[in-house]
Amino acid sequence: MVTTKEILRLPESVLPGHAACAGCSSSLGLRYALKALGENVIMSIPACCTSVWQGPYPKSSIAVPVLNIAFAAAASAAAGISAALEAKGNNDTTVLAWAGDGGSVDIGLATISGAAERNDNMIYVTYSNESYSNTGVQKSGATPPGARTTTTPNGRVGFPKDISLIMWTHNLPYVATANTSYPRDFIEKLQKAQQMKGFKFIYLLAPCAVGWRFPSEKTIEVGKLAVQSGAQILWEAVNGDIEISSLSKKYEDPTKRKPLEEYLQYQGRFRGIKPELKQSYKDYIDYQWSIITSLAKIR
Amino acid sequence: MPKVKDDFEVETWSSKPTKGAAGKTGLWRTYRPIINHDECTRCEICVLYCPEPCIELDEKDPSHEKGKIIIDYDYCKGCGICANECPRHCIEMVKETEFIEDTEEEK
Amino acid sequence: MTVTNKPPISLGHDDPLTLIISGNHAAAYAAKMARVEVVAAYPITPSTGCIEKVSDFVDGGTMGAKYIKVESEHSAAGALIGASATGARTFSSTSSHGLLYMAELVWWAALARFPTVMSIVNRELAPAWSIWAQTQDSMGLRDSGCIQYYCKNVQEVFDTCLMAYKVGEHEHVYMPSLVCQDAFILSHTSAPVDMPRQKEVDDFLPPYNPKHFKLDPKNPVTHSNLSYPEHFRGKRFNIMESTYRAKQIIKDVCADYKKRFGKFHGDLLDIYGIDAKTKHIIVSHSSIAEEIEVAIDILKEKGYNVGLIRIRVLRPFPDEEFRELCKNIDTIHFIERAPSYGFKGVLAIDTMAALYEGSNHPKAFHHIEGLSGMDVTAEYAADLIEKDLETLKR
Repeated sequence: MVTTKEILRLPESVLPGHAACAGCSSSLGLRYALKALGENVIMSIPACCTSVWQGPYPKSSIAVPVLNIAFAAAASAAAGISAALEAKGNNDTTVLAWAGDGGSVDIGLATISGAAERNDNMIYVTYSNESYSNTGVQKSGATPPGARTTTTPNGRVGFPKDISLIMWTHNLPYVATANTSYPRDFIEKLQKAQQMKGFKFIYLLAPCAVGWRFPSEKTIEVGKLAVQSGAQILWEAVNGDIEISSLSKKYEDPTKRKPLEEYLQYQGRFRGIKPELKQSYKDYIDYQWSIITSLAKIR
Repeated sequence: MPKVKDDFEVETWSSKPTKGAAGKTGLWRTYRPIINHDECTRCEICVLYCPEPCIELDEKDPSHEKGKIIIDYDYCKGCGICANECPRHCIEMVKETEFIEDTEEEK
Repeated sequence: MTVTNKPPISLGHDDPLTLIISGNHAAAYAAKMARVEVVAAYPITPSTGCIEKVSDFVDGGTMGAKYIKVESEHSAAGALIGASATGARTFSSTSSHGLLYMAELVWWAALARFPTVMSIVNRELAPAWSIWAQTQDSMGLRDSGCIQYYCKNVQEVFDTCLMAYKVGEHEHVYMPSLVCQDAFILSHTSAPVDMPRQKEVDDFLPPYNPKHFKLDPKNPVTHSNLSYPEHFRGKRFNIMESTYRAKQIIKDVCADYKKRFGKFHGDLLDIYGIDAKTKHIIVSHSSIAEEIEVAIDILKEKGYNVGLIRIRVLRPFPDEEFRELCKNIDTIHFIERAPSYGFKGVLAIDTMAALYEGSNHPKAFHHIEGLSGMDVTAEYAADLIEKDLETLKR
């Protein structure tokens, strides 16, 4: 159980004065991730917001070695780094692939699935702002129903892909979901993953003030509402055994969940959402809960 | 045929980690967080949630037994998360234009 | 941190060895003897034989490389980039659409200066599906700066793979290399390949130790973040300078290899039958060129003063060497497999550009032959040249 004060004493490897938007949860998320994993880390970052907010050459805001790579290749580059470290007898350095939802769920899906199936040794974090934020907030495979993006101006129709479930079907040593508004939970999950060998996957919901159109000061609040309304389920699976995290446990009971409207109220991307799309989002949430609670029974 | 330089080195794209890679991002602000240090309990929730990060507890500051929360205004973008999350509501977001000494220095 | 940095094992080469093997297997043996540390490969006909042989070696315990059985060629190149950036010597093999599928990352490796060696089995592009020889898959990437070698026989494939590591990992070069061989004609045809002792290869090729860049937590740097336009001139001209210097380095490495192992296949160019009397030069590549050596003999017997230049290295292009060889000739004849649609053959375009800056501009004859693996026989090639030379008499 890591405490807030302990988290704050961990080293800071994200340096201030980077190019992220004010209030960016992906920079906050990486700050937590590198606190959790330490300084003996090599990162693989594909095209995504992070590849830009690092800042321009010849400066960088990330104080661990970083290989920026093409959009679809985060997991394959990380697999190569991992193999090279193994070839050189290095068993200590952690390989961290840090990719957006686009690079994991859509264009990078074959790559992440391949690396997961091979159980390549790395921690892969998909930080999700539920869109292609870097290129101007277009729809991605992770965009929730009803969300307005520049390519879904009338609201996204249909359910998104759940990359954490897709990863769970790959028989991995560790799969988990996390949220930038809950740093202790995220850091504990990362430190647990770091102790294991093989492909460890964490899906990190990272609310985007610019893309989701809410005031930047609400970033942490919006993230918490995602969990409190049941829209995001925090869970982890060690060797396939799913456990709903303590932060989400009470929301298993739908009556305990905050109304979805409370989660959506700050987000301009849902303003004027069609009633059928809002119902679709509610259906999606119920659907996700029924899948997770059923799978959690499998041992 | 070009002259062959003896000190030729292959160059590739290596960037060094540094603060302020994107410049003095404090210039982005329209609102500045101001802490009421009398109300502040030094709980460090603001330090926890800063995405920059540009806020920290200076434990050695003599003003209080726990120290003092210091904001690095060179880099603070004024996102307001610290003000929104402070449990004591002792951080206020004040318009940048209130800080006349900055504009006077420019003259 | 427990970093041992021991080069991977390569067993079975205490004594020199001669094996009758295919071009695919020759590349696999070379990768093994080069003590490659990471292999990431995806099967595609007709390069599968190479990666299967590597699998045999690795699983059989005679080759110590880490073998990532990736799920696509794009991921193969991604893994090679990650491994090369971490300071490992890498290898892969592919063809045709596989090479095109990883094309964005082949460019990435070149522009990033991450060396690797790939055995490319040159195969036709679709439509229609064809498995036979065509060189456009690799020639289409020549603008990237990757060093490209085109081999005429199986022995050359083995030797060139080893030399390619030495050239590509040179501290003034750091570029990826493609060692190309024709589909089936070389990849699946067995011929004797002489291999030296492992000790001798180790002496020729020390472990990869990059001076220019390495991912290392003890010295954290970020590679390839966003960069503004003003920085590109220096970096890109650095590539031009490196690839220019690679020409002499290739010559030096080929000469050194000849001294150590007694094998020489030409350096940038492979010359056959050129002497002071030569008035007509045929330019060709890959396995067609070996056939044309026989055509040269046929034509010489008929009294023609012909000679052959086989372009062994397409990039960096041997322009100075061409101008020197073509100083006094009357005609130049291109017999090649690869058209550059919209203009002429690839070799013709590059060679004519090189000759433009020379004092002599011989009359050029263009022949695109052997498309998609059709045989170009010596008799056929000799006939083409004779017909060309007939037109001069009129």
